Amino acid sequence: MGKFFKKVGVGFLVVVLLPFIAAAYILFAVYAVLKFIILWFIALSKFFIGEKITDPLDIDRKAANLFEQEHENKKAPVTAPESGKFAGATINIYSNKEIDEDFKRPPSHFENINNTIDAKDIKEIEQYETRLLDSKNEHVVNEVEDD
Amino acid sequence: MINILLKLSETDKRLILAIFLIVILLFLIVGLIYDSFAHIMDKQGKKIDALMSLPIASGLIMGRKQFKKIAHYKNDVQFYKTFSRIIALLAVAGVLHLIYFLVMEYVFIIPLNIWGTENGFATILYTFDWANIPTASFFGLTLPNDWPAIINRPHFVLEAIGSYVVVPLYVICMFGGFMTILAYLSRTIRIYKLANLLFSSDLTNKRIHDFSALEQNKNVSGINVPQDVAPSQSKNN
Repeated sequence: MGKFFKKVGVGFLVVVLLPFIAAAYILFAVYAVLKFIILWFIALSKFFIGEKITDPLDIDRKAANLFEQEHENKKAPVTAPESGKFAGATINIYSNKEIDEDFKRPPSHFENINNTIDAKDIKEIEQYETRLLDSKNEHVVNEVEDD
Repeated sequence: MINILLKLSETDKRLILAIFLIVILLFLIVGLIYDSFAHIMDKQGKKIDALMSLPIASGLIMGRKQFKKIAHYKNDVQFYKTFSRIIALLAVAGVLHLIYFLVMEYVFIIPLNIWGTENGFATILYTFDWANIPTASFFGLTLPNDWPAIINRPHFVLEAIGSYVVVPLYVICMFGGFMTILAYLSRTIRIYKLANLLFSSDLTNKRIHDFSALEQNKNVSGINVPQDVAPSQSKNN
């Protein structure tokens, strides 16, 4: 019932305000027709420079590019499904070649070993070898005695 | 007022009641027509949402002024596109009308009136004699009390064949033009509404991210409880 009276009230208001509504519409229609004439001249001038009035604006192009970039970024790389004898197998490939040649590794102490052998080193090696042989001989003598 | 009502006969009272009901019905019909127009305008205005959704969603429009400028330009272009079709149809109707006029006036030498009842479009319509409508006197007012007499019943006239084509074209142009201008008006109103809605400092209807739950205690039930009303604190207080 409330809706009914609301509709009737709106109808009454529209009847009362109808001349003003009609006048406003007519004024806007005159403005629209004038605007159309101006737009027609603009469209004509654009036609002669090889453009169209209906062409998208720069802001539309920028927005479309932005969305396209976002879409491409979101798109996951498509990998072909594995097939054949080694499908699903893990294959480790080792290479001596640097993966990233421009990468600067931190200095390691293994790279700074002295490769040159002098007389002192030879003397130490001989002493080490004689000690080793002596210990082996002792071990053999002990075994003979046990037998 | 009460004296006047007491003096009225039963027939007069019934007549007043009938007139009152008719007036209410007329207001109701006007209200419903207004509602349908409001609905149509609302739908037409949504076109601007579609036109502006891409720049708005991309965040390239930074302010109300920029929004209005771009939206008005797009609205104008949309109006130009639709109204130019109406103008093209009007031009076609005008050319046909001119040809029909020249043929009738100079070949058949028949005076042309495309809206007339003799050789115009009104030959296929009912025509009433509104000038001599039956009337009756009611409280000193002369009011119509019956339908007017019928002057013309629908019938086909060969000479009016051009008007059967041209008049509907003119009617379509008039209706199309009315609707196009109404759509232009609806979109213009919508631009002002959107500008106020999107670039307003009023946060009532704005949806913002609520991070308040991050720093709150979690209850045994798993429901976040604000720190100031947490059970441990409220008990202490």
